[in-house]
Amino acid sequence: MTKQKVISIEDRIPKLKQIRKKKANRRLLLLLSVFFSLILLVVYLQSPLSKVAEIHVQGSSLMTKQEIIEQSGLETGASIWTAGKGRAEEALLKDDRIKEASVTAGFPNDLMIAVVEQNEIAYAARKGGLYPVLQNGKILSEPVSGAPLQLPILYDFKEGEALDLFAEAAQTLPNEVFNTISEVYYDPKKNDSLHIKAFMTDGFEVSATLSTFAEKMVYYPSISTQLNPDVKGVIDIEVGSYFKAYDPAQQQETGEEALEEAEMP
Amino acid sequence: MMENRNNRKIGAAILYIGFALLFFILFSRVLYIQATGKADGHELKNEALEKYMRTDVLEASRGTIYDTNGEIIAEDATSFTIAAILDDSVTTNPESPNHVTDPEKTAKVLAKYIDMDEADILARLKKDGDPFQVEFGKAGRGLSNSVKLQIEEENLPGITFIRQAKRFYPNGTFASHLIGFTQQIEKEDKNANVTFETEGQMGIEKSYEKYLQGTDGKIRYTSDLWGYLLPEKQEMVAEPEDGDHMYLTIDSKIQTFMEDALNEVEAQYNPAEAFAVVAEAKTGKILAMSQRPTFHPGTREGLDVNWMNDLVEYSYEPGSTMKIFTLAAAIEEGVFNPEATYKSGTYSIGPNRIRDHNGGAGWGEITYEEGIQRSSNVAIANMLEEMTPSVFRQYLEDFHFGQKTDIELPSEASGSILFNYPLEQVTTAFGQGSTVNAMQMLQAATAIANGGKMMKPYIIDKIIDNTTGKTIVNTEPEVVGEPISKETAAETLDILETVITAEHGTGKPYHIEGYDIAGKTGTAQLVGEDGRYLTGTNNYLFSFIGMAPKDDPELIVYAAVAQPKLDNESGSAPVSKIFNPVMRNSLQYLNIQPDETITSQTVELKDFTGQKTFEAREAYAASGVDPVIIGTGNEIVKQVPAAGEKLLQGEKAVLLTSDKWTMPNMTGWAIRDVMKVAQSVGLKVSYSGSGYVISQNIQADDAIKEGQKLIIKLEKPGSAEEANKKANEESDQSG
Repeated sequence: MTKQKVISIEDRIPKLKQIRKKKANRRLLLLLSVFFSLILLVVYLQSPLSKVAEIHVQGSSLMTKQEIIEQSGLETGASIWTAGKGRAEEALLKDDRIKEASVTAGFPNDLMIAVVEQNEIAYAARKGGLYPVLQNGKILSEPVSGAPLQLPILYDFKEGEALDLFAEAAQTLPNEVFNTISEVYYDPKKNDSLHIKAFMTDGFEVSATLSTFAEKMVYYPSISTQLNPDVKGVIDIEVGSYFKAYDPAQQQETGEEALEEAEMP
Repeated sequence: MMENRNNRKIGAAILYIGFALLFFILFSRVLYIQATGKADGHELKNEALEKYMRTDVLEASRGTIYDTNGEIIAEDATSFTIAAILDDSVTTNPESPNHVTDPEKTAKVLAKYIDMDEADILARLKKDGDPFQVEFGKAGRGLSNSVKLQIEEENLPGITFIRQAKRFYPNGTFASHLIGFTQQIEKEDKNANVTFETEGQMGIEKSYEKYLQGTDGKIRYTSDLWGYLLPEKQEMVAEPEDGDHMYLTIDSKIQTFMEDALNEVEAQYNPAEAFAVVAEAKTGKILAMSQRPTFHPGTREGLDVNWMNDLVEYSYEPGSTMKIFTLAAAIEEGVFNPEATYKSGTYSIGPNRIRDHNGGAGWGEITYEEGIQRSSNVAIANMLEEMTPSVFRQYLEDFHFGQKTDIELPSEASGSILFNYPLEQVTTAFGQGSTVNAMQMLQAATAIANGGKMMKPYIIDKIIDNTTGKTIVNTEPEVVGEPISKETAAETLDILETVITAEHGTGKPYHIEGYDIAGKTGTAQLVGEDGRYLTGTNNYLFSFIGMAPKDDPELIVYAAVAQPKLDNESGSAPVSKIFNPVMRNSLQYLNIQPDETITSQTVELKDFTGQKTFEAREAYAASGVDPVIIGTGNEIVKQVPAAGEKLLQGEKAVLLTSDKWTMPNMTGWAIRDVMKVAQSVGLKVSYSGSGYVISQNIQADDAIKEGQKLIIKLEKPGSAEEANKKANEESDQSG
């Protein structure tokens, strides 16, 4: 019984040797793989593959691609890992013309800047030409070059409350109503600092206050269609809504509204 | 030696046991407190909480009251309470003290801004017992931001401000008896802490308290001995639930017309009472309601006279305005013939005589139509006789007299119908004896104005939950009865129009140029304190109910003036000074009614790029836009405005074809239409003037190409016509 249990040392040594060898091999492999992957990493970081090769821009029309890339602070040749995508987005948003910006990395080393620009809602007429007005109420510092878009032209507006209200109206008013606004004059009165007058494409003049402009103008089509298109005048929507012909002699011909208007004390 | 050693051993043992015992006692005490949490019968946890736990109230802001257009009638605004810190321990740097250093100067300066004597302020600042800080009672509360800023400018050390919400009524005296007001009620809790709670005291502020009030929140936090918030301790916050927002049917503009008119009448005639209401005839919406005397809800100046909303809570004898309903009943019953004649003057009923208002003289034999125009009692008595009183009684029921209208306002009077004796029956038919409230009159009048359908008057449009934004209460117009037919209503309005237009009409002062008004005057006797009718020319309730426009009434205005100081004028004068401006301005204000069919006039442009020019032109013209076609090419290359844009019918839209572009004639165009062409072709635009095109540098039909410069001259149409007119006048003069 006892004899069988005893295994001779000669029998055991080769096995031990083998086991030891295996262990050493495995350790070596591990060390080597770590070593090589580190080397690969360094090689990658040194190679042009880790550098930004190209920057694509999407969604720009107000700004040129070059302007957007400059504004973003991104550069080709910088490491794609430290390019600062978040910082670039913030920098882009600082420009008044940009509403949304996102920077994404493409494979292997391209960057894509996607921007949503502020819409142009109007032009501000100033010395030197027509300056685009954006939907956030900002007036660009460069006048439009070439052919202008068909947008309302604003006069005497400055950046501030009045323009903000107008920009808001531009977005809330139905497209078809906003499309009838041709010219808008900022015309503050003593008791109404937000008074404006506007010329419409259908030939009427509108007198309004910006504080209610957006809500009242919704009804513009139903007001103007009630009026005789041959008798031009001012549609006053400051308080109620009434029509006053330029030529009082024509007032009578303009139907019921004008008749009632004639009663105004 | 041995004994000595023994003694030492004993001593050590005693010490040992003694300390062990002591330790044991302490330990068991700790264990006991730990286990039971009590000491000396006090719950330790509570004691600790009381010492370090603070509770503050987070005030819920009261709901805002809006008018029908969303303009604010009442809202919570921030105000400030002034406090003076007297304790010098808060001052760390003597150079810039944080407590009151110079009470005399402080008192002198503060007296300029708050409603309190210098001496009283000084007394508070020198209060005995070294208080940490003092306040100044009512005078120091409710300060506006501007007063606060002014006091801050004075650089008084130790003066601080505590923020609070205050009810603010931006319109001042404005439907005051309807809206009511709020007051800060002093409340003392069980710990003798005085808090101020805002409570509605009158009108809507009071009766809708449960919606407006909201629920105060609480904040509980642990703090150190000095009241500072301990870091990293969790605060327990129960957020306040703000009050709900109410939208009334009141229209601020019309209400303002009414307040102005009432102010004028009050100043000129100083009546005992005056009230007026405007309602939308088709819905029963109350657009304006007010009365005199009234008060300012912010200062409550003038409130000592009358706390009652006269239009709802006051029942009175309406006078001849009641004849509207007797007339309508007679028409409906077919017993009213305007052409038939009768003998005016007096009408005998048993031992009593009913007299016409000219002392019973009458106007001889006149037609019934003239009888109504002259407000003849005898005519009414004859009509009542013909339809029989019991039938008329049913009409009174159908017009809901004698029953509350259930308008959403508190303590509505129901009025009472006296109909037991023949005399009472006749007097009720012309508006004496029986009593009504103004809401009943208005409700009954909607039946006349609204084609027989009687609309319940209402004042609450909707109530919106502040947190969820959901509508909790939403009032819809409600038909409460149909006492008369549509035809009767129309005929009644025709007759009532003659009250204003006829030569002898009592309603002549209520004529408004350009409008057809239907209405009825009323002169009601007033019951004096002794229960008898008052005598004297001024001691009447003069009133008028008017509806306009007569053919399809939009508005009902009811105005009444009691006991005006008349100076050789008729009683109609003060009433017409309320009715006429309110009705006229309101009709004008509501003048061009927006209709809801805007969408049908809108055209959405379809994409025609690449398609045949004639197809695009036909499609444009068919949809109602005005196509401007540039060039003679067969194909469309560009559309301005672009496809997908919406335009109104009649607007210009440019279609750019592939070939041979030419200039359109732009005379009369707005600059925006010019820019449509410029954008499509790519022209540079330079222009002068404003308004509409009078000249262009590139003539019509001249060829154009991209990049060309277009110079435009604009002119305002008004100025042209003015110029023409001037020219005409001048030529007239010369001729």
